[in-house]
Amino acid sequence: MRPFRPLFALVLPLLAACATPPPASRPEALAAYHETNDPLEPTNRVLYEVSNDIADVTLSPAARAYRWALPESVRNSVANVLANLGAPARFGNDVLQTSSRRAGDTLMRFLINTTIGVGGVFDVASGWGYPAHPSDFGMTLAVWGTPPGPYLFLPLLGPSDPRDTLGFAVDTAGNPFRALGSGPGITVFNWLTLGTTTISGYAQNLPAIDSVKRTALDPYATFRSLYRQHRQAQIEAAKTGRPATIPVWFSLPPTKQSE
Amino acid sequence: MPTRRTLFLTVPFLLAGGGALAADDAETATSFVKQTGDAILQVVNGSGTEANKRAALAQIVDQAVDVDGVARFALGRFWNVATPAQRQAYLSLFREYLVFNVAGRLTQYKGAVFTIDRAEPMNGDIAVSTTIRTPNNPPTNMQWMVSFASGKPEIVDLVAEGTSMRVTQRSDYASVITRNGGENVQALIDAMRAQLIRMQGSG
Repeated sequence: MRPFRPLFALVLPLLAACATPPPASRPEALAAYHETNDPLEPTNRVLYEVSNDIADVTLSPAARAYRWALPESVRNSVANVLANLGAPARFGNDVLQTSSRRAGDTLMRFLINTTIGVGGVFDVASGWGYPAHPSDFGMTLAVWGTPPGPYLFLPLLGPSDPRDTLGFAVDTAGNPFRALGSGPGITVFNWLTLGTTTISGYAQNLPAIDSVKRTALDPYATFRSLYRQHRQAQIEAAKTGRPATIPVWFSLPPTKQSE
Repeated sequence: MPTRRTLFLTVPFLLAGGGALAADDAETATSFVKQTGDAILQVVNGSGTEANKRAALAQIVDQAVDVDGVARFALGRFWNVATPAQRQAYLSLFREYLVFNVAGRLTQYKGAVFTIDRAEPMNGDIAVSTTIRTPNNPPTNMQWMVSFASGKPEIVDLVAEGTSMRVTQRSDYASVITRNGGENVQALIDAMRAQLIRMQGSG
């Protein structure tokens, strides 16, 4: 049974570890505990450390090599092509979020970039007033009113919560390119897309990740906060239908300023 | 004694006056952000030694940012449990850390240009949205939160792609404090000091 011991030692704390909430006699601390909403923190921290160690020898060097080998223009083109491949799924989510303007943006982007943008290599649509925006099933659930639930750090996938985990599963299962069939060509294509998306995405975020690890006192807590805020901002934008950057021609809804 | 009629007449004027004031603030905030951003980029893209640039940036930070206000926000509820000596040590470490952090992005913002998109009131402050374009990265959206609480415009927060610098900082600090025994502000001060030494060591 010996070889199992290290594995057992690793798995046991994962199953058993739960953060202890502060006593009711310290209401401020208790409120902060609920705001952090990370009851599985000890487990999450272990998974964070393990994921980091794995990424340090796999994803990080791959992403660094990718940044080193390809100039920015090529990396942008790759990201553009991948983003364009994701457009049908994003369109579906825009529709589920009943956001007609954003669904229109996604549709126009797909049509313009696939044709004039040569298969998505060039993002022509952004310059034409159809800005890119994120849209996935986790956001759809949020728009429908599903609460995020406690913080989770998933191995390989990183910061998440039950809502986004479910969203990710639905997006993966509902990938429109799966509907094309199940031949070996499709399988290779799907794996290639997944691999390139992972490397390209990680390479894009690498400077920010490095910067957090270098400057934060507690990178785990910092990533948790960044993830939540970033997600919240994306969901707010999806709810209000307002893009992060508003094109000059788009008239703003009246704000307090003009009241 | 104000009659119903005079009240009826004055209220819209007061509201209009408030609106004009906010619009003025938005304009002031916009030109203030433009000035500050230009000043930073002039240092970043200018000639001069690393040390000179750092000193110049420190001066801009002191002038344009409400450093103590941001620091107090970042410490959150633990400000009240900190001793006067701890507060003093914390404020000075925070300033040093902030300056070092801004200066640490010298190379990152080399060749950057920024455009101002809009300014709007947000939670009592003015949010000035900008787009920053750097040669080696996709454009990023950054909001500068400008407060007029002290009478003159001061930066109280930077929000990049929906993430607030001071909120993130507060999560980081709160985690260090609570993980070292509940309300241990000294643990934070020690960690900040060690961190500064480490960052300065790695240049």
